[in-house]
Amino acid sequence: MNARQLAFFRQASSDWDIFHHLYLDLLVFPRCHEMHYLQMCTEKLAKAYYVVPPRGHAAFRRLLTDMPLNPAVLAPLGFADLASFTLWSGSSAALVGAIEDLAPAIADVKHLPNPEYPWPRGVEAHAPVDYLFQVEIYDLIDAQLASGQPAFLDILEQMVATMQATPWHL
Amino acid sequence: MAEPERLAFARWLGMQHLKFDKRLTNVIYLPHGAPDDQVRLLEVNTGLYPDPGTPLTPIEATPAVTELPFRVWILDITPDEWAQVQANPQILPAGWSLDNRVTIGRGA
Repeated sequence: MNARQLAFFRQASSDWDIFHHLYLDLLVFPRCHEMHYLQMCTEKLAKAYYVVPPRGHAAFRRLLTDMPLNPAVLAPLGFADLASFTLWSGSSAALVGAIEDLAPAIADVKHLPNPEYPWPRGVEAHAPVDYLFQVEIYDLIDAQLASGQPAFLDILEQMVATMQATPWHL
Repeated sequence: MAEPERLAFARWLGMQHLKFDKRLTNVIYLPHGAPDDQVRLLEVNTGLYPDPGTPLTPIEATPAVTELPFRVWILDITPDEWAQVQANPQILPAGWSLDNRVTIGRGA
């Protein structure tokens, strides 16, 4: 990893730790906080993968689109072959898009709730702490789990754990 | 590597991207000026939302050590940026060109 990649990877790893902590304590803190860290983890992890970072905040879908070109990703993430990875990434596509949409810069444009700032911009009337993100994220997590493919969050955890250690970044 | 093989690979890869990412409206193969072992794809992405002024910078999508015969470089741009590029190809990254472009899937 170059210095930029390492900086993004280290921050993504910390974002994952915070997300995981909050996710396990679902009833203690408002959900917006774990959503914030989940979005940040995925964006920074994607920006850590590339020698030059992708443009914009919607980087994680770029990463999943390009991962099939890199056979080094398969074993560390527990996939036996490219077909298995492709099935998993297909099962996760809607959820990945929804996580990207949590970035305030994207959510504002698409008139969606975001986990950081009250919305809508300019006439703020809704606070993230009061919003459950049930339809936007949690239902999609459940739907991906029901697909029978490896759980998205388990694979994301493996991505954080192995991207630098194995390594499989570019 | 001969151009027919490179074009076939570019078409296959572009179709894979279009299948996976429904936000892509166009994938365009740009062979002009590219090294023989390089596949350049310009991908028009409705979900990109770059910060204003973000330069048009391609990313390399292939690992340094690969069994692939090609290095893959991808330039993600918004539909508005695509319109600007078509009107003024000079804003493309240095060495990139729209000459001899091939559109892969989802229309022109």
